[in-house]
Amino acid sequence: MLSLEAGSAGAILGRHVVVASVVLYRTPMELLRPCLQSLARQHLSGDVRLYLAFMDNDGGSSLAGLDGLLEDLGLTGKVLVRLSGENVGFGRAHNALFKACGSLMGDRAWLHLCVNPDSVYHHRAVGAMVDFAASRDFRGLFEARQFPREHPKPYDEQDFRTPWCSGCALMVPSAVYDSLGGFSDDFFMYCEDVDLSWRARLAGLDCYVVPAAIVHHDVTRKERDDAFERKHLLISGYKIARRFGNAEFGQVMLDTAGQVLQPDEMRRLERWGREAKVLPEAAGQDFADFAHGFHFSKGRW
Amino acid sequence: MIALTGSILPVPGLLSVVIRSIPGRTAYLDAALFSLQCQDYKPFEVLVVYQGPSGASQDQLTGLLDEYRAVGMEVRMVVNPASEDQRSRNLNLGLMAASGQYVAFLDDDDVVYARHYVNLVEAIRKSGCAWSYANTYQANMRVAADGSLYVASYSQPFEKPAYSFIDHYLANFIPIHSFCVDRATEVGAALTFDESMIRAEDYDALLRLASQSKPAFSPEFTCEYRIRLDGSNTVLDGTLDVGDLRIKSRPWEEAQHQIERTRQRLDLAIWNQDIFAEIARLRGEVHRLTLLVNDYGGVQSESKPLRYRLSDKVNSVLKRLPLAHKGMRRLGIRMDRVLESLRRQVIARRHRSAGA
Repeated sequence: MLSLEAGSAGAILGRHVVVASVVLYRTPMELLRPCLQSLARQHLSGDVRLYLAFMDNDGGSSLAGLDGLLEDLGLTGKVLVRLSGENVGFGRAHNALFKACGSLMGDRAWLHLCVNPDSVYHHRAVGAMVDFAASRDFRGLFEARQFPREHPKPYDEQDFRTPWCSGCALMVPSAVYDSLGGFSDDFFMYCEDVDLSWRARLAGLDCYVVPAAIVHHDVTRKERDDAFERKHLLISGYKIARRFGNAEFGQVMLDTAGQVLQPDEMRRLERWGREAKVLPEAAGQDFADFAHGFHFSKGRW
Repeated sequence: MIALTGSILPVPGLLSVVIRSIPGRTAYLDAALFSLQCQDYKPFEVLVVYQGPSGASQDQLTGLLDEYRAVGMEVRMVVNPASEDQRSRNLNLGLMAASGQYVAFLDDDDVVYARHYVNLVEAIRKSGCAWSYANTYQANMRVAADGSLYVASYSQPFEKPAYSFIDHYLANFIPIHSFCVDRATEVGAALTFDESMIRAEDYDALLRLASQSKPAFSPEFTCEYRIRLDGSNTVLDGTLDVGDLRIKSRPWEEAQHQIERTRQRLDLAIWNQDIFAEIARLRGEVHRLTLLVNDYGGVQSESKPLRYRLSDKVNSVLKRLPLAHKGMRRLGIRMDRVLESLRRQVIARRHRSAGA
């Protein structure tokens, strides 16, 4: 059951409106503080306004702490919506936030920014992303450069195109989000960003890295539940292979998942595979790269 | 050289990070400062030592530092208006301005990871050592169309499994931003850089430091040495041309001589035990690996790649043995004297055992 609360933001102003959307799941406030603090301190030109939207995937357990933090950082008036509900995963949570914010926007075009709660934005990052997206007429997906360890997938050093965009710090113009139907509901976690990117490319859009926008995301410090993450990685790996018609990668995922998943989980996955919406137009597209495992592209190193 | 001791006592627990910068590098410095903004270690202060003329470049730097002050960073600027390369003096100026118990250095085009200083200070606190260092990645970068830096690859040329003075004596594997010094210790308080040097000044200082106090080692890779593949960071001011090369080649040679003099001046006798330990360790490793190779030698063809890898490893270890010997020669220690000393120790031990 999804619960929606309107935020306390007043009239939505600004030529370019960015909604920084954060999905929480038992997120410690000390982890979230630097993230929100960095958003509060963005250097934005007068025609860019930044708002916030939150989805708590744990039924609202983080919202009380969030209120205190927002007040402390002077951000309470920036919140558009706060949602809470059961854990629907990353992509569906963003879809819910996009829909809720969209209902407030009316006909206005805006920019949905996926913000990982453990990321820290350089004080010029959001402005740099808006400027870059504007220079491409807001046609495409735009991800910030992860810092200090960059994502290993390459990008073109002249035009900054990249094979796909990570969802860690991803800006999606509302028209693009609408036209693609958002993230696929098929994914709980992992690969939903690759799926969105490849569908964007099928639609003739490009994926970009914005080098001037740096976002600190230290993947090495994360407390990991390896078994849980491995399970969902394999499930999502199978699903994206099935959707994009790579039988070989899909079979490897399925075989490996068979050693990890419980029998009922495995049956559900196989049933999904039989009923899956395969994207026929994806066949033969060379950007759907399954030759490099979960990098889904040739790596830089 | 500037005497830094005997002035104001350092603030306990405070970390001071000294960054040298020069005109035209605010874009690189921005990344360095952002990496500091994301540090887990608190509290810290940043001292940016700017060497260059007043004017647009300095104003640009002032503006950047104001931006970081606005996001809560404690950052100060120290200005050195000298026109010639005074990189060592700049470090000393930073040291003099620093008020922290712990002091670290960061070149304006390098970055540190979030846990870097937490790990380094913890290593000092746990070990009681006067200084510590961490493993360092090398990021090999190209300049992209918009002037940003594109990471082409990462490598690990500085990686060592543990600190070895022999290795350090032969070549520096501790980049300037990978270490941290505790100035509450006598050894740490005496840290200074030789202002006659415009190259390897950090290595010279580290050799002097290491001769008095072995460092604690944090094996995690927590910082990046960023190499621009266009060669623009071969000198700090990024303006190397033929004329500069001619001008700088002499002081660079002099710096190399200075390193040699430092090596000779240090009382290295205390490191003899390290040399013995290093040779024993290498020999032990060769022995262990040789046994492994022999074991796999008779195995079927599917094991061949493993066998070759092991053979490569043995060869790489064997190559290091002469290095240890070379180090001993530099220390003026003859192998026959070492062996004689070892023989005496063995005899003494036998006597003690017999007596017991």
